[in-house]
Amino acid sequence: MTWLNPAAFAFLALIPVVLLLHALRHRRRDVRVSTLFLWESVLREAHGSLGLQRLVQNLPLLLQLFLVCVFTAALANPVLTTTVAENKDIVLVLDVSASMQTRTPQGTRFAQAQQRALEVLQMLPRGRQMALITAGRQPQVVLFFTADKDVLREAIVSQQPTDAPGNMRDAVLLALSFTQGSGTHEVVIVGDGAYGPLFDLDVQHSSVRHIQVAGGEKNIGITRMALRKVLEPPDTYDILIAVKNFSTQPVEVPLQVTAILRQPLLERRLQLQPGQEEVIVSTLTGPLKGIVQAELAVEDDFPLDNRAYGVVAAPTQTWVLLVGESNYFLETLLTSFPGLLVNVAPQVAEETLPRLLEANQVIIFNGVQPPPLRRGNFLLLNTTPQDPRLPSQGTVTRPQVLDWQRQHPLLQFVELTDLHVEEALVVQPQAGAQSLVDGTGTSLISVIDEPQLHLVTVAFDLMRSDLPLRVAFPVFMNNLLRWLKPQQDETNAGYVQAGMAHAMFFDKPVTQATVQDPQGKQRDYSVSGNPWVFTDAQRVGVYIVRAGEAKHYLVVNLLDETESDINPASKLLSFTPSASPGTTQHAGIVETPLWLYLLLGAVVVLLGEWYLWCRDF
Amino acid sequence: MQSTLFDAEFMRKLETLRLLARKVFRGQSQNDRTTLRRGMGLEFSDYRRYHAGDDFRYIDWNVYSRLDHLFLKIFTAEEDLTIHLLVDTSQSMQVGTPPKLDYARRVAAALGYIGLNGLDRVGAVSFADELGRPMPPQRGRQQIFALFRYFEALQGQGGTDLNRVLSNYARQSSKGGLAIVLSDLLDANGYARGLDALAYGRFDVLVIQLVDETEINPPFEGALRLHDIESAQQRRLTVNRRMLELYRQKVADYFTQIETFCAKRNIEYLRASTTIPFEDVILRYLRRGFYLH
Repeated sequence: MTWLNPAAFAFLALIPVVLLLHALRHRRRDVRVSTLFLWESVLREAHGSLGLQRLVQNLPLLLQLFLVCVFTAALANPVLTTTVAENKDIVLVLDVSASMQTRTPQGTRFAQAQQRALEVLQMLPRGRQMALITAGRQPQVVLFFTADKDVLREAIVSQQPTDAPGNMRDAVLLALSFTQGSGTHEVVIVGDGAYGPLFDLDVQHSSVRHIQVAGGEKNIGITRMALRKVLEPPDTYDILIAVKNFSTQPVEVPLQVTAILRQPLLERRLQLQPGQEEVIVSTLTGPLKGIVQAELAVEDDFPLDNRAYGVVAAPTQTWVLLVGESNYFLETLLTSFPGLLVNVAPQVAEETLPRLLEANQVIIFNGVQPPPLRRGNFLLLNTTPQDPRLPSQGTVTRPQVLDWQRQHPLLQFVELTDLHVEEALVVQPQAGAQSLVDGTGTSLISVIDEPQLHLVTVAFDLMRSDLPLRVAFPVFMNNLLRWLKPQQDETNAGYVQAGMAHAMFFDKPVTQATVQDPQGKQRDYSVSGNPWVFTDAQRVGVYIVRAGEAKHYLVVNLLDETESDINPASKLLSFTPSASPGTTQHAGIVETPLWLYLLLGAVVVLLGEWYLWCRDF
Repeated sequence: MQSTLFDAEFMRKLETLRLLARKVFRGQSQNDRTTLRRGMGLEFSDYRRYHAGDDFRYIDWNVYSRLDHLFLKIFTAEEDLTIHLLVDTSQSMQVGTPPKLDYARRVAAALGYIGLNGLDRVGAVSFADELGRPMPPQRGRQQIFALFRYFEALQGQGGTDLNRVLSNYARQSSKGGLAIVLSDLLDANGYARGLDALAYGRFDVLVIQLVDETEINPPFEGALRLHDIESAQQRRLTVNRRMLELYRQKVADYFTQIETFCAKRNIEYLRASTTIPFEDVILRYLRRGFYLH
């Protein structure tokens, strides 16, 4: 033990003062008696309990002396120094995944993990450093290496478990990258082990310690949920719900699907064996709008996955204006999209364009020269805009597809290999425009993407290519319509897994949005760009986004089978490399301050003194 | 007859009382009390052989006519009783309200008055750790004032050594009689040998133990420094209820021990508290115990 402030021992001088005060207060009274021999026999007989009696009589004095000693000791700031065998910097990986919310008899798993993390911090030798990484959906470096234990403690205590699935593998890899295979570092994982196996990681040159928190084993959860509108008949929806029993006992679980503030839409009673998953596919009928909630009426240790949400947006209509030549394939395809209405016009004058843009969300120019385009959503087929970023000069015969941007939203799942095009315009995208499909001598598909202007140019006539006959054509058009007006996708919009970002589109430009989270708290966000990426969907439930007059529901679910499986992995990662002369560390010293305990002891003694005083009074 | 020790009415009551000794003593003058001394009394006691010089008047001629031997008739002489009043004047006797010494001298004076009034011989002696100046046994009512003056002059001082002073008195006293010991018997060295010396000597012993209520139920509690009034010894202790209880038990045991001791030796014992009016002790308690008749 070390005293960091030995000067405080001067307060021990108070002891004689206490003794003096006590002596003055307790002066003995003189009494004359006839004889003492009877009293002496009393004293002899009471001698056995005299020690205890004296102790009790002098208890206030003893407590006061003890109080002075304790206060003095506390002021002297003692620290308990203990030596530890190894002396390494620590990278602490704290599991903050949803499964850490599992309830145990000792609190949640996360509360246990925090406690264990604090114990690791307490054992950190003086002068050694610690870094903190949280293993949520994405590993996050909360605190880089620091030796300040107060800062580290604050960082650990301030963490909360998320509703998102965890990614322990990436977190451990990140932690290992900090250690750089050095023997002076140790990776300490504090988690419940309910994540994918890690033992295949290459940790041969690193020291990894796994501290597992346990408790809670009963869980039945909704692992999947999907809701989609059926085209025919109207007001009909298909719903898919998967429920799995992760417990070791068979269970009977009531499942109920309700719309908010409405009667139950679906009720089932599921018999699930251990490990069994049951998938329910059902049809919901009737006009639905708003939130649909599926709930398991069961008391288990992990209630987060007992609910899942879906959203049904109001059906919308999208108007598309087809300008120019008639195209059978294009018109047939457009009219087959649900909620899509097509207008046809032979020509569009520049002065009528703003009015047409108000009435139509997308305008397609097929083989006709468009007027100057400054805002709006446009598809140009076999023609080019009057825009210097997409200059056109001449044609090219039988251009070959050289490459295309497979990751671009317009071309996802679009296969263009061996596309045959008889003739195409020569388009050379300049700065501000992007070529999506490169052909020999031209850009077959190019795009201008601006906040106010979304313009896609297809440099060839559909009727002079085999594109309309390929599977890629409806896929491309579907991507195109979603890209030009993505908010028309009513069934998928508003779904997101906890912890993921979600892009929101607004019909009219907005600068501010108010988001109400599942707990009812509202927060304002400044919006830049359309779509606006919302990244705070951390909690399972329904977020309501209001921007201007627009109201957007965003439902956040866990829906992760791996995370719902709260049972720990069969084998946990833990490895200690054999010590080499270069990595052997000197014994470290851990200092534990004791003043707080002494202060608490002093308070207890003070209360005891007060009790005695009250009793005697 | 006026005295500071008690009033005239009480003295008139005393005149009707006589002290009763259970043994038969040899007196100096003829009285109506039987003694061990054979001789001139009226009550036939025994026969013995005639020896030369015996008084012919006591020869039983009837026996001589039958047995042809001379026998003398022996009578028990009726003689006076000598009363020894032994008053403890140690400092511990000054304790109490009233002080035990005041109480003792009043009781002693009353008993002396009874004795003198009954034509007994009454002597007195004070004692502490030594025997005080004695008042030799005197007979006659005219000795009452001297006796009272003797008791009034007593001063409490010195320690207590019952064994020594009572043994000395038993040895020094030429006459037996009724020894009335008035003391608190609070002697760390005990009282047994002293009382034995009296009891196994020529004395019929009456012990009157005087106690004050504060010695039975001490009125103090807390952190104290006790001073022994005789030895000036001190003892620091903190008295609580449990210790008081223990002390009362010790006092009761001590009294029981005295009672047992006296009963075994046929010593009359009376314990009197100073809270009891001394007239009651004389007129009621002593009479109830057949010490007076």
